[in-house]
Parts: sequence; C-alpha cells; structure tokens
Amino acid sequence: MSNKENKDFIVPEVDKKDFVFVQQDKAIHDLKFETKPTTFFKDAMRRFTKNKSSVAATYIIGFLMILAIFVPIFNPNDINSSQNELRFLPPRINGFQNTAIFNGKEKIKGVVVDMNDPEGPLPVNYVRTAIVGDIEMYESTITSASIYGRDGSVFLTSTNTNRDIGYRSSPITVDLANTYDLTIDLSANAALEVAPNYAFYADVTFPGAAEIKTVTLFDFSSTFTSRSLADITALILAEKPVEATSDVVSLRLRFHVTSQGVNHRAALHMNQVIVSNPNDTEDVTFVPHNFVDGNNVLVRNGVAELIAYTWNIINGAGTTSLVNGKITRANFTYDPYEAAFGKRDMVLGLDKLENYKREGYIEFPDFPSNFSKSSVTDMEAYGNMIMAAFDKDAVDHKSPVVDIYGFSVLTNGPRPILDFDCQVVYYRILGRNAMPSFMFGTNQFGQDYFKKVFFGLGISLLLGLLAASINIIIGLIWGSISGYYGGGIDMLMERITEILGGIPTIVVLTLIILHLGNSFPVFLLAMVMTGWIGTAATTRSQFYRYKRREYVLASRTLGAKDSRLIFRHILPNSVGPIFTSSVLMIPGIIFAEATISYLGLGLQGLPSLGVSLSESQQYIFSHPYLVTSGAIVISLLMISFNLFGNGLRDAFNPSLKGVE
Amino acid sequence: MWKYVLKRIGLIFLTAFIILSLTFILMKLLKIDPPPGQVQVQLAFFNDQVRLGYMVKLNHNIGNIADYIVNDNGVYHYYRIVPVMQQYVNWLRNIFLEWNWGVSTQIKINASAMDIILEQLPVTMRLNIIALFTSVPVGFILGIVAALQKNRPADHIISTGVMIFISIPSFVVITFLMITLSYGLGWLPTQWPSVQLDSTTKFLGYIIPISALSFGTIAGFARYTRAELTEIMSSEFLLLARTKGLTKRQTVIRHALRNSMVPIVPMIIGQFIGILSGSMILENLYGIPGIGRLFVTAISQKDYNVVMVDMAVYTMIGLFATLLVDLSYGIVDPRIRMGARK
Repeated sequence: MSNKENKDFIVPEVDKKDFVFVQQDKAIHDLKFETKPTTFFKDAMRRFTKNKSSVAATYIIGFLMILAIFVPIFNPNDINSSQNELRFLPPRINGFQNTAIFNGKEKIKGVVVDMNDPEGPLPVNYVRTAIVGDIEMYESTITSASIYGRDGSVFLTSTNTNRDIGYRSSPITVDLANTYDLTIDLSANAALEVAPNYAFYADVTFPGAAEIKTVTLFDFSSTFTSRSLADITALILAEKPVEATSDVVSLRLRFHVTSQGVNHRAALHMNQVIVSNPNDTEDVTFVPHNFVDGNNVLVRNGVAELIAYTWNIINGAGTTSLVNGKITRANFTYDPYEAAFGKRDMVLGLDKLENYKREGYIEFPDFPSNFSKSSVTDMEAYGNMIMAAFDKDAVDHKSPVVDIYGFSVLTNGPRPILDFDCQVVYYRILGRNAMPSFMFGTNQFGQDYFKKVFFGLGISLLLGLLAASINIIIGLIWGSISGYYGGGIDMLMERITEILGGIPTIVVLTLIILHLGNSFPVFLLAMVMTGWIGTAATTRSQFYRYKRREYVLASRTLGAKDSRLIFRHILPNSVGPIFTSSVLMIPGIIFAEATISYLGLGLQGLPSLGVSLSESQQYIFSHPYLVTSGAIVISLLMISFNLFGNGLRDAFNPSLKGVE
Repeated sequence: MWKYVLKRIGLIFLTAFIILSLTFILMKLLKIDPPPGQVQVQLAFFNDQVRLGYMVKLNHNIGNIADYIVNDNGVYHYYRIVPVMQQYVNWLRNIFLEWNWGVSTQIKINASAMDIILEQLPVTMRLNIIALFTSVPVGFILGIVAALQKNRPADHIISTGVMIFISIPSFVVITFLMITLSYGLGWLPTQWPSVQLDSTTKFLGYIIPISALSFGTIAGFARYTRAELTEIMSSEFLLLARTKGLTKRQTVIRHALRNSMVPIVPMIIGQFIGILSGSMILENLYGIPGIGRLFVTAISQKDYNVVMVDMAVYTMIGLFATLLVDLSYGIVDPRIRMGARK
C-alpha cells in the first residue's frame, strides 16, 4: 500500500493511554501451549481411526490372530495323526442341523445300490441308519465289472478275421462231492449274422496229479444259444486219474470260438455262464449270477460272498467288452456324522457294562454271591439275568448302551468271558457328551480342518511377521546408508539391489529350498533374501527427501554426528511410508508362502495355511468345502491387511488420501 | 535418449549374466540324477556331459573317486563331476559358442532343454497376452467410471470389487471358478482341453484361465486409473479448461485422460510380469502345458537343466519388462528425459 491510499482512511480519535503494552514489565519466557501438543504418531492415529474400513480391517486381523493363537491351544482335536473313520466329514455346527449350511449332511449322487441286501436296497459303503429321508433310485448302465451289476453280456471278439479265439477263467476251487449243473446262455452278434461254433472245456487239476485233465463239456459243433448240461461232476470224475488224492479240485472254465469262414471274426456274446448245485440251494459253490465286464465273469461263492473270477483271452488276439450291463444307482441325503458317531452295533465285555452300571447309565443285578466266575454255566446264567433285567425303554438318555440283544460266553481262555451284543451310541462310548461337530469339516486324514486352518494361519502369520521385521531392519540399515551418504556408496549399493531384485522371487525361493530343504528357518531365509529390497528402496528415497531439509542442516551446523542426524532427525520423519510398506509386506509373504506350497515345495513338518490348502486342492470336486473354507480365511486375511495398510498410508500421508 | 537406452540394455545384459551365473553355480551344486532306464540312454547322457565339459570319464575307480558308475553288461564306465567353477567356464563356452543349454534328464530324456522350453512357451505367452488384452480395456473403463462417479454408488461398487480382487490370491480365484463353473454348473471343462478335442471345447477351455489371470490385473488397472484420473480431475489446468467454456466431456477426454495415461502405459508392461508369474499356479491347477507347469514338473523330477533354462526365461522376461517400463515413461511423456542430467 502506498502512502497516498493511507490518507483515505479515517483515523478515529483514540486516547494515547489506551495503548499499553500487556507485557510491559513482564519477563518473556517460553510459555506452554494451551492446546495439547500432538506428535506425528498421535496425529496419524487420529486420522487412522477416522477411516472406518481400516479400523474394521484391524479388528478382523486382530480376531484372526487371536483365533490363530487360541484355536490350537483350546481345540483338543488331533491334527497330526491320521484318523480314518473321521475322513471327509462335512462342515457342521451343533444346533444347525436343519439349516442349509453347517448341517453336517451331504447330498450323495449316483452311488451304486446293492439290491440284494436283506434289509432292502442299500447304497454300497453307506450306513443305513445315517441315510436321511428317501433313497431316490434309478437304472443306469455300467461298462466295468461290478458285483452289483445285472444282465448284460461279455462280447468276445477276435481282433483279426479268420482267427479263432479262446477265453479262460482263473482257477476255481470245487468240491466234486457235490453235483453241479452247467447252464450256458449265448447269443450271436447280429452284425455277424453267423451262428458261431464253439467248444466249452473244464481244465481240471486233481490234487496229487501232475497232469491237467481237459474235460470237454460242449464240442465244436455246438451252435445253440442256450443250453444246460446236467451233472458235469460225473463228466469230470470220469477223467479222475488214479493218483489223485482228493475230490476237491481246482478247475478253470475255458471257451473256444471258431471263425465262421472268410472275412468273419470269431465273435460271441456270453450272457450267462452258470454252474449250479441243484441239491443244495443254501451253500452252493457257484450260483447264477450274470457276469459283468470284459475280463470278469462273476460267480457267486456261497450266498453272501461274491467273487469275481478273472477271465482272460488265451488264444489269439481279441478284445472283450461289456454290453448292456445294468446297475441301480441312488441319490440321497447322507449324514456322515451319524455314520461315524451315531448308533451302531458293538460287542462289549461284562467289565464295560459294569463300568456303565457304576456310572449310573444302565441297571442290572449284581453278580450273585453264590455264582462262580470260573463256571461257564454260572456265567451263562448271569448273562441271561442281565438280558432279562435290561429294559431298553428305561435306560438313561445319556447312556452309551441303548440295547442289549444277545450275549456269548467265550471259553477259550483260563476263565469264561461274557460278551454282549449291544447297540451303542458311539460318541458316548468315546466319552463325548454330544455328537462332535467340525465347523470346517474334516480333511482327507480325518483331521479337524478348522484347527488345521488356524494352526496353519498361525504358522503363516509368524513367518510373515518374522520375515517382515527382519526385512525392515535390513532394509532400514541398507536404505539409510545408501540414501544418507549417496554418491559412490549409493551407486554401488544400488547396483547390488538391482541385481538381487532382478532375480524373480520364484527363482530365489526355489533355489534356496532346493539347497537347504523346506523347513521353517529356510523359508524365513528365503523370504528375507530379496524381501528387504522394497524397504531399502523406500528408506533410500525418504532419506533423499529429508536429508537436505533445513532442520537437518541446522543440526549439522551445531555439530551433530551422522548417527544423530539419521536416528534423531531423518528417520522419525520418514518412518510413515517405511512402516506402511512393511505392513503391506506381511500379506505378500503369506501369499508367497502359499504360492510355493501350491507349487509343491511347501513347508514340511509344519503345516502352514498354504500347505493345508494345497493338500485339499485335489478334493475340490468331491469335497469343495475344504478348499472353500481355507480360501475364505486366507482371502479375508489378505483383504484386511490391504485395507489396514491403505489406512496406515492415508494416516501417515494425508495428501494421498483417496488415492488408491 | 539413445545413449541411455543402449546403456540400460547393456546393464540388463550384465545383470542377467550375473544372475544366470549365480543360478548356474547354485544349480550345479545340486547333484544331478542321471536319466532312468536303459544303459544306452544313460551312456548317451554321460557322454554328452563329458563332451560339454561337465564330467570327465575315468578309466578306473580306485579309491571310489567316481560320482557315477554305469554297468553296461559287465563293462563299467566311471564318470566324475568336474569342479563347479570349471563347469561354469565350460558352460559359458557352450552357451556362447554353441547355444547349448544342456539336455533334459527326466522329462524328455536327452532332448535339448531349450527346445522343450520353446515348445511350451507359446501356450503360456498366448494365455498371458490374451489376458493382458482383455484386462487393459476393462480395467481402464472401470477406472474411468469410478473416477468420474467418485463417491457415488458406482464408485463404491467398483472400489470394493477392486479391493477384493487385488487382495484375493490368484489360486483362490481359480479354485472358485473351477468349483462353480466347471464342477458345479458343468459349463466349462474341468481341465485344459487336450489337442484332440473339438474347437468349441478348446474355446471354452480358455475362459477359466483368462478370467483367472485377468481379474487381478483388471482390479490393478482400475485402481491405478481411478487414482490417476482423480488426481488430475482436481488439478488447476482442468479448472482452467472448464472456465474457458469446455464441457465436462471435452475436458475429460482432451485433457484429463491424456494426462492420466502417463503412469498407466508403463504399468501395462509392468502387469505383464505379474501375469506371467501368476500363470505358474494357474498352469498347475488347470493342467495347462506351459512353462510354469514345466518348471514345477522339472523341480519335482529333479530335471535341473530344464529348471535352469526355465529360470533363465523368467529372469530375462522380467528384466526386459523392467527396461520397457522405464523407457516407456520417456516415450509417453516427453517431459520425462530418462537418464538426463539435472
């Protein structure tokens, strides 16, 4: 403003005494601020707490860390050994039985059904009591051997035209004291339009005789499609050599099909080959059972036991295939927890029952004083007393034993042993109060996946935190020296980091692990090897930024040493971005560790999260809940760490706010 | 500029030379397994090693000095590994004079490791390039939308998605895509289709790998574009443009977008390295016969020559991508003079 303008102002008349210096006679010293002083960190903290998503992420990280520490301590489940009966239990939480998820049930599709089960159709390898609701059954075809298959035929064909073909079963043990009939059901291939000629033999090895006797059952002129031959035993016994010591022989059934003229292949459908015993329907050596599959003709050995006898091409080159084989499959809802821990039949000794009686679960009379524990009759009588006294409607609802339906007395040892056939609640037998439940299910080793995931998370976090702190220390030292001194030292150090940083992380990890094995310290070393370069670069640029500032110069002119300048003036001011980049390093390390596990070079001995995840990757189709739960945890961790890191960055450098 | 480029290229070759030398020495310190199987195959391998100068043939084995013994019908052949530094010198000679990178010992016995890599490289490159070309425009558009709609629902949705996809590890994405699209719904093949299958299946087979590779990159581009554009949108020259009467559309397209490209173009190249390393897991999980899967197979089968060449390829791609990133700054923005003195 010029003087001319000043004249335009109207200066009010003011008394001179009104102008008094407030501090006229006071000694002026430094006064305390009336407002509270704030530090760089406090200010950053205040800004950080305003960022809601970062605060939420911090809580999530804290929660995951607490789980990672306390789940392995308080969860008693075994995650080191393999427990077969607990394999692949789906996720379940007690009380969620009727919800859509965590109900512990799974939908099973397309399972083969055993139609011959005495209690009605039953899906093979599943427990009847654990099937929830109805079984939905449907007809399906099969192309491979199954003892639950029906119908169909083996199509036997020679590979070359004008060639014969032979087909033979594996040895079958037969007692010739019985009488056997043979039924053969064959059909020609319509495409070939020629009825095949064939022969059917039994190659018999009598005990004690060296020579194998060949008994012709049908000869080469046979062209029928179905025929029975009564009493093949007599035919075989007629060939019995004198030196034979027994009538229990080993025999192989053999087929020969001849080629039907020029440009015809020897080919035949074998619908059935039945060897039956007409006198004894209860315990026959072979029973009608339609075959199944190109190499196996199934023959029933006894009523219950099905044995696949292998048939092989023996003469010429040929192929066999299964045509029109049928099988029943089922879809149903299954409760594997019920199967593993629910009601089941068990044999329990008297001692066990007495234990449960002592604990008050069941009641039965005491052992009478006039009875002797070494007398079989007394033990039997006591068994009957218990059976008579046991009232299954009156048992305690917490009782491990819910029914006793029989007993047996074993007399082999020095004293008779009383065993009871019981129906038990298995989880009570195991000493649990309720049906166990696994929130994330169990993995292929029957281990609680929830504990496995959080134990692994602990390992991964530990690795991440340790590696990040070591990286910060190395990076800080390296970056400060490089940035503070600059010049030639900086050039040299920069070239070294450039070369180290040029090696792809995966190459560094692989090389170190190949040389030193895959233990925890080696992983730590591998993560530190090139991990510090980022921190070093950030530190260096921060040092370049602050080292020429006036306050540093002022301190230097006052005679401060290098170490004082670095640690007292430059570092505290530049710590924000360094800290942020170090926090963001942790998820990077966890991610790298998981990646290397997926590539098959994971930690050994200590299952990290990556190792557990990659192990369950191969069950992605059959048991997707394993990978899903683990992946959700690792994703949650990564998202939280990123949000947390972004919040920190914004807090330390408000000018970057909103820039992501 | 040209001087700078040449200097950088020279430096890159020097860096690559040092890295590969270190890698070679470290790899050679691991004991190599001779190829399994017939004696003739083994002899061919050992004789090749002798010719390349990595082993010497001994006439006797007095004092058990041989590292490998081959029994050819009673005739014993003894081979001894030469010291590592001597092998290193021979290796340099083989590479510079013959371009000989050694043979595979397990995967494809006695085939050149370089040939095996070159055979599998196209699949990996094709996937990565397609993924890059799909993710750049999508990410760019999402970023622009988010920046222009800043703090409105569209921005919140995009930003949340970006945060999630940047954080989630790629194997999780692949796994979820496989669980839902392949196993659950059955729309896509559960594995990389083999060569014999029809072209529809082959086309469908590309969907999961491309999406798995793209998601992270799209998120990265969107985030970066949004950040750059937001910053530029609040700058003075845009205000000036508006005040002189341009519509918002004109200012965005003519001024904001062009300026925000400066850091984004180098990032495209930078992402390429990211995709390449991400595809290693993908190739393993989806059964794609590329160099990433080859790398893992080679390590698990201890086929160290193949591992070596594979590492060399990854290193070289990484180094050249870094160079391109640096150079592209100068090309995109003429204000930046790379290597210029102050």
